[in-house]
Amino acid sequence: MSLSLDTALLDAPPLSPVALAVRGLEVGLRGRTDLLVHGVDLEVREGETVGIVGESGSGKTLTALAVAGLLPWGIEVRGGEVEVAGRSVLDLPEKPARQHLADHLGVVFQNPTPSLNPRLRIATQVAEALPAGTDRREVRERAADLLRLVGIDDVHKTLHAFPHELSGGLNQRVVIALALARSPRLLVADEPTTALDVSVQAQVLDLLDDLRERLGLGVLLVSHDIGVIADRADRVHVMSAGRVVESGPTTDVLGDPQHEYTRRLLAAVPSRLVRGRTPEPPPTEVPQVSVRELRRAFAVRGAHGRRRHVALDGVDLEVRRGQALGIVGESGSGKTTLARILVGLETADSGSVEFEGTDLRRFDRTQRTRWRREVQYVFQDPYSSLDPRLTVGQTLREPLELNHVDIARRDVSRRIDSLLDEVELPRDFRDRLPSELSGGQRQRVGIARALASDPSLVVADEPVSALDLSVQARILQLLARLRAERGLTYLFISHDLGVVRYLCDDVVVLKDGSVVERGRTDAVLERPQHPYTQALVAAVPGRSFA
Amino acid sequence: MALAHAPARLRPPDPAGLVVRLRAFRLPLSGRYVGGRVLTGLLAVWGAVTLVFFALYSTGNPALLLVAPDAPPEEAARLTALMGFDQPVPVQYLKFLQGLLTGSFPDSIRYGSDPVAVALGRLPASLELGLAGLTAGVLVGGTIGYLSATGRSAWVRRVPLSAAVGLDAIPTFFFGILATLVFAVWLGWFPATGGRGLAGVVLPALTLAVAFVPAVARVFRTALVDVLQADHVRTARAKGISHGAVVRRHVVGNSLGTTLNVVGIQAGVLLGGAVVTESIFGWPGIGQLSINAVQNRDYPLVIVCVLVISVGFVVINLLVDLLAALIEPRLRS
Repeated sequence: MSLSLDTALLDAPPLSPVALAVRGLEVGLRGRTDLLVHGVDLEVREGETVGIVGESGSGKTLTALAVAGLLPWGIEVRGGEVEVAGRSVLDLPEKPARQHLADHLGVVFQNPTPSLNPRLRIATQVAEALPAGTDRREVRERAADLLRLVGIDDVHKTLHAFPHELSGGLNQRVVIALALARSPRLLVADEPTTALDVSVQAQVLDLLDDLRERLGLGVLLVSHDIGVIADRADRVHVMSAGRVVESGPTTDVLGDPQHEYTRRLLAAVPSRLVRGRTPEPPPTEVPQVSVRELRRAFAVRGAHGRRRHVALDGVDLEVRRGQALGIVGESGSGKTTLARILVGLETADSGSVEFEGTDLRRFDRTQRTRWRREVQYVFQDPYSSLDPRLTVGQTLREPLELNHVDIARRDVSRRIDSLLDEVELPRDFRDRLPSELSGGQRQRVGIARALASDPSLVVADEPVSALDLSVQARILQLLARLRAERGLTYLFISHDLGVVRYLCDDVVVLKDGSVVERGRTDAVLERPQHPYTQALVAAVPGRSFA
Repeated sequence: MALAHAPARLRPPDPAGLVVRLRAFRLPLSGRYVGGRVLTGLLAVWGAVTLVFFALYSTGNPALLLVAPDAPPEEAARLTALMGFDQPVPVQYLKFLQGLLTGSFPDSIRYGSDPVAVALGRLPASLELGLAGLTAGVLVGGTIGYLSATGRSAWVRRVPLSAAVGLDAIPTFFFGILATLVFAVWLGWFPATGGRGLAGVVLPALTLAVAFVPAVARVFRTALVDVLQADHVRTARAKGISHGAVVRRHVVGNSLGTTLNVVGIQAGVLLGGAVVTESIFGWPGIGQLSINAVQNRDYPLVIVCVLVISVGFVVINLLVDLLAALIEPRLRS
């Protein structure tokens, strides 16, 4: 009996050693009894990627930071066990624990550029991460080797640079090099690509995969992006409200979710949202907005003196009344500049913008007023685009009073109520300050503020990119509903192809200030013609399961 | 265990890398940056002396003060004409500007000699006091700021800072007199007034520093607290270097930028604004000189004093900007 068991064990493929074992991890605020992370168990073996996925506040980042011993001040581990490379670190005194972790665990952070000291050259920062006692003459060579390992070509130039002179993707490679400096067996990557463009994200994730394979690293990958986890993780833990609600092999968990929360999360992925068909807008002779040969350049001061950055390089565009047009591109493609010119927050160097057949520059006073009212902007960051000292009611009152001079006080109050109804916020929210609202609620207020002027065209610059997946899904549904009800025209800027696919009939792809491709959204995203669009579509994570 | 991806141990020196390194060396400051700063500085000096010129003009004819009250009106008129005060204001102003550019000013009314020489003669004393006060203020303020940001116990974090903020509420003249009373009159450690040399500078420098410590302490503390929470400090901690090294290399250095700006502004104030301190301790510096010049309506001397002080201010700020660019690479590009 025991003999056959032994044989069975011997026959099984040998499991690689455990790089990280977490048992019953509890994390809480210092001096409070309630917990932020309730008893998380997980295990990462060498050579495998284990994902943690969840929304903000789920405790996924706290779990990762607790493992790495880098919890922010005021937050502490309350209980449980963290075993890195076979040694329990929570029982160790602070210094040896720090040392053990530094030797056996590398950390990759969310925002690459702020994660590097702006005052020191890359060479200094890499040298610092090398094991203590590295021979002085070897330091530079080893630093160069590390940068080569993470796929940086111009090693010497990079070593000599300051972080602000490098791109975000390059800086993230440097951060990964720092994490590998002591040859750890485990990488903890906390949202390593969230701050990066889609194509750079794919490169960084490829690098992590490649390093895992070549060096046999265990990787703990924390992300809010289900697509990233689906593509990269062998096993996944889904976290919600400080607890792991479901875990298992990635294909099982995402393919056949058992827990209610996982199901809801998956249903909120933009490419899976069921879109209601919007009626085809009636063809009109005069487009609502038409843009011709729009050019705009900025003077930027870079590492090598001043130069001109061309944000828009001759863009032509037409938006018909009732159309939802998506503008897609990576950072620096000029999409935000375009939007700001369309609403008059920025002026073009040359080219023309026409609103209902009239050039913006030839508006008389009445036309200008009407245009100001009819074109509204929804901002990307719901946290900074509301005045923190104004209540929701005051924020909404302002455009109402500005645009309807003779509106009665009682009517204003009624309109505020109906606007709140329209964006599905309770009416008593009118007395709240932005600080008392969540991100999604703030963005609803931002949308209500835009609607207060009764616009016909809404220009929205990444309105959902700062929001959690489930909140994002609800805001997208709200935007789709408003469009159907009010017959709005949307100019919708996003880096997220799934979001654009959900909301927009047509799409324009911008690259370096020029339109490289345009057409019906489905056609462009399914059969992209331009190599750039093809690369962009291919780089979107999560294609395997979407 | 041999590390799977340990970089090769020994390699011949990399001449190509060296070349790249040499080529990548950049002057920390561009001529454009410095030139721009100098130009704004000169504009500021021009603004300051112009303001003083018109302020003095608006207080009446200085020549009238030089003649005896019972002198005949012709005597006053003669003196007015002699000093050029009878000419239209724009002409006087242009002449004044011309003098400014050529460096020739009317003689000091009180000293009867070149006011520039008089003012510059007082500069070393002012510099001595200013530097001593500045050094004391930066050292004490910096230490208090450091303790209040990084101290392990709440006492260390709060008590020195509260004391420094309390000092802020004490006027300079009061502290100066108090210090004189305690250390000069009662204890007799230092001369009360008119002293020079090391012993003489202690009390005035201390008095100056008191005005200076709270600002430095507060700004340095805020900068340290901000940087301590920065992402890159977390990265440094993740590297496993000791707490002390993290603070020294990544926190203190990165906090100096904002602090330096405050120190620069205060240093300029020390140069010209040590008026009260110089008066209390009879310190023969430029602050005292300008007060006396104003009282004597010695208008050429007042202008030159303002000129010297504002040039000093500009030079100090220029130095601060250059230093800031040295410790903060992002400013260089």
